[in-house]
Amino acid sequence: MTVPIAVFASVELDQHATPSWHPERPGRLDASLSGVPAAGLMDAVSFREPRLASPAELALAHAASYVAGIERFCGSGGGDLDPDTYAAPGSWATARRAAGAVLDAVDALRAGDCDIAFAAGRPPGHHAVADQAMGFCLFNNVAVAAARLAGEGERVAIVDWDVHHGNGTQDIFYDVAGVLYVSLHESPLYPGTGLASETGGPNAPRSNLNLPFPAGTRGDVYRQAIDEVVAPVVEAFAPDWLFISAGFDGHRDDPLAGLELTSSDYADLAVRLQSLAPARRTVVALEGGYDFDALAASTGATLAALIGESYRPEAPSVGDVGRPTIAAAKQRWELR
Amino acid sequence: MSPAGPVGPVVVGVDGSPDAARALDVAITLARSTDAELVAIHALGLLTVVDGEHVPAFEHRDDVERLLREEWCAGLVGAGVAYRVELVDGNPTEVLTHLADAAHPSFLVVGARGIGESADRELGSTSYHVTRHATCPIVIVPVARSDP
Repeated sequence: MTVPIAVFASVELDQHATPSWHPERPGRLDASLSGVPAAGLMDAVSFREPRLASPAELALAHAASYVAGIERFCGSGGGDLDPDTYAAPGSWATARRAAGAVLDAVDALRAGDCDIAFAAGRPPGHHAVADQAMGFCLFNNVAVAAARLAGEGERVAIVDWDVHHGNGTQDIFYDVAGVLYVSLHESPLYPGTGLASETGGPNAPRSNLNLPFPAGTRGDVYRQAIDEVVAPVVEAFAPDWLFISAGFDGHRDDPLAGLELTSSDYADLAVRLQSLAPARRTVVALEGGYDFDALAASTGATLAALIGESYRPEAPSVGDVGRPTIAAAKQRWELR
Repeated sequence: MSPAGPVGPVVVGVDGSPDAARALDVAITLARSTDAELVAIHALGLLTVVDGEHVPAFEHRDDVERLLREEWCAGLVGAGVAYRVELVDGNPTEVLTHLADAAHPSFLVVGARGIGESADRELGSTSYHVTRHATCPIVIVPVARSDP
């Protein structure tokens, strides 16, 4: 039976035990999923336990030696990987499950089990490059699933609205013609990448669209960016699949960045993006988002919007900041 | 023999760790002996440590800038070399390798192990990753020996 939304989450199996001071901590999943009942979506949602991605599947986007290294590191007790990124003994299983959630989301949509699939995994993935963890991320969950699809000849568009540029996803697919990577992010900000001039490698021209916005940018400009830049670029690419790398740290209450989006803005973005993909081919994958209330409201608003419901605990935001980014992108990408 | 052209800068990664402090000393020596500019870089991540607390770097950029200039790079003042101090958003490996590609330094100097870095060399060491990715000469300043 088809359900409107399949949610792949494993709150009770979350063993990625970061230190208590760390903003990327286990409570994030509870917070995100609390948006489902708050939005009145319990009847529309089927919760499913995601599987563990296999090392071979992880190696679709990562060096096999790196995958083995993370297993070894976690098995020997874990610890700091860099000043931001931590791995606990249980992180090996939980990170595999986060990648498995995105793989399962694809499989559920393919099987016709759901209209929308939400992979609510942690740690997030979009900073992880092929051979290095960084930015809280161990495995690039979206990249693993996108690489599998691309290997099967499917065209994949990834739209990343996390406030931080997804340097790992861009890096992995920069010269892959069958994968379009689009990022709307705050700049300047960690990880310092995501320049508008980065448009794809020699074998994949115009496969990478970066929209770097200044701090203070609000929903009005993000809506315009989707309508006037992202939509025509994605439509021209004609994807078979759409992945939304859904970090909710662009919310105005998030402590790690300075955009001023609201949960209703995310709902508006989601609806616009969904229209760019074939039916039953939109996967929403959780990335960042570190204010628990914002995470709950944004998750609820996004999922509700994707099945035609309205849950808007906050008003859409307006601010007229960041429009030059849109003008520059339209010029660079020769859009009217 | 006189050099064929201007000497590229000596770039050094700093983060407040003991290894980075010794890397800065080595970089000063190299810059002085080659008459090169010294560029001290700190990569600002998602988190930072201020007054012993892990805090969002975004909210404490000014604190880190002050630490960088007044404490971590204090040894540059009066060292007799031309220098710049830069705070750059990003992961240390990515920041340093990008700079190495763009600025063509004569040397890239890093401590063997920075703050918050893993003891697992292949997974978490900036010094290991820059040796794999950077395209310029690299000087790695080893961990201090505590034994005599």
